[in-house]
Amino acid sequence: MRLFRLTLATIFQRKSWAVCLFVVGTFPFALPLISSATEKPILIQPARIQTAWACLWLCTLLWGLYTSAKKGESNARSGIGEYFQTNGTHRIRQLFEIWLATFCFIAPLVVLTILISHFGAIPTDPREHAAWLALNLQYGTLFILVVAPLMALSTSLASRFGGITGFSGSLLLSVYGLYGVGYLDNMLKLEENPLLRALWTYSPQYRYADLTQRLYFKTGALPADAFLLTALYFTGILAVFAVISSLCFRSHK
Amino acid sequence: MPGSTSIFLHGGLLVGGAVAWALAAAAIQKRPELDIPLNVLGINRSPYGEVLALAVQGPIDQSFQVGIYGSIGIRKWDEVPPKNHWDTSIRDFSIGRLISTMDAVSQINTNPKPVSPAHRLYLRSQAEKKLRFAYNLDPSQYSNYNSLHFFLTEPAVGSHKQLTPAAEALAHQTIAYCLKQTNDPRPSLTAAAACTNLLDLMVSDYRFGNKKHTSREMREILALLDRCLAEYESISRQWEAGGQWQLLSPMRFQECQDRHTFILKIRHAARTSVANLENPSAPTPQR
Repeated sequence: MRLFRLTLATIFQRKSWAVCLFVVGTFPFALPLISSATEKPILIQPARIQTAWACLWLCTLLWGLYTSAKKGESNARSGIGEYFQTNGTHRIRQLFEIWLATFCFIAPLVVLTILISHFGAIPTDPREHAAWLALNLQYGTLFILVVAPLMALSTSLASRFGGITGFSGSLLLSVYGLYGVGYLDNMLKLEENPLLRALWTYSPQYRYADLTQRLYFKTGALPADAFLLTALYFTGILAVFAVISSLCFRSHK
Repeated sequence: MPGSTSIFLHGGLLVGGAVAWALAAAAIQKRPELDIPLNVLGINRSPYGEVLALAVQGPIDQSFQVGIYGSIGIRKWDEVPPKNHWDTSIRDFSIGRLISTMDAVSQINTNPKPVSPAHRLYLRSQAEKKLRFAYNLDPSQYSNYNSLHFFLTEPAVGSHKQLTPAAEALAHQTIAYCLKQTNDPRPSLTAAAACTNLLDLMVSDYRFGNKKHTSREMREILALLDRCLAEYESISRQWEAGGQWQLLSPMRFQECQDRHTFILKIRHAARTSVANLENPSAPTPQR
């Protein structure tokens, strides 16, 4: 796991992860002070939930995907990938170790967000506590299932086409999956189009992993069968993206 | 890793993943409880949306004018701020004056041709998009709701406003949303404003010969208006008891009081109008 340790140390040394930690750790407590929660204290907890998860999404999609892309590109361009290949580390293993190193900085952010969302915004009624914890854990699981393959895709695209392509490609795909499909759905409701409908049906619909509204409006945890179905959906996407990433990844130019 | 094993592994993952993706996608789309409306970062109808809705009130007024009149630009060069803006001596120079002069100059309209009908239509549609965006940030926001309502009912042709289906749907949607907000008295005022808008247009339509809305419907809306104002008074008393009015700035508090007074007057006028429609021969009660 030498490449993993090297990548982990390099990312740690750059210290930009500290900005994400600061944002995810403090904004949920600071930002509600500039919302209408100052006039209505009852809104502080919903504002905190919204800020916590929005900051996690932004930090992961901006910093996480960017760092993955940079590491993928530098591994291919600097000769490190070639060195590890000659020393017996297969390119797919290299991709896995780089991905794991970046993921080690994202996972604590997810845990921190779940803790803030659970303890910082828990409903008063004790009967809702178990469902609240379940919903937060469901959200964390779906978030990781969505973000993990995107990070691998970013690394592999960057190793072959450069850092900018890797980062922007995976970022645009994630934004499309979160919000673009919603716009497409609204357009299709106005006027049906079979081609666009097929595109919409088989697009990665990351919006199903965005459970912020369920937390915000306290509609309760996802039913077990719905959660398993959604998890299966994102696992399918993960498998396909894993194959694409492993085929696309290059360890040297 | 041997080549054939790698091929089988890749192939298996690809096929298995694609099958799981396709089957689960079809199954998920049949579950309406998993579907949520588009709401980027959850801003709409959130505490941050409420603050943004307040912030965009100024630009929304501009959008409204652009949509109705076609432009907000000052027509001619000599209608620019008075000449003494330019005839200042060096002693009177300040960055503030320079910026305000540049601001005025930037809005000068030097095109002698008036806005064409096609361009006017385009500006109208753009204005409506902006007004809807502001409304969606916080549907209980009094000014943004009223701006959108007045825009929707501004007649493109003809001389009197009509209760269009879009305006009616907007009013009912706003009332439904506002009456759910029991932690703040101000949405009830917006709901009351929506009721008064409905009544105003129903009565106006009736007077111009469109008897689509009966006096019974108007009575129902009057009852809803009474309910909205009762909600406002009830939550307002709770806020007074809890000291929550102190959390508002004096300007917001005064704005709320003014709107309440205004709606009470409109309610009185609406009751009189509906009574007159039901009983045209009865003498008009004096104030």
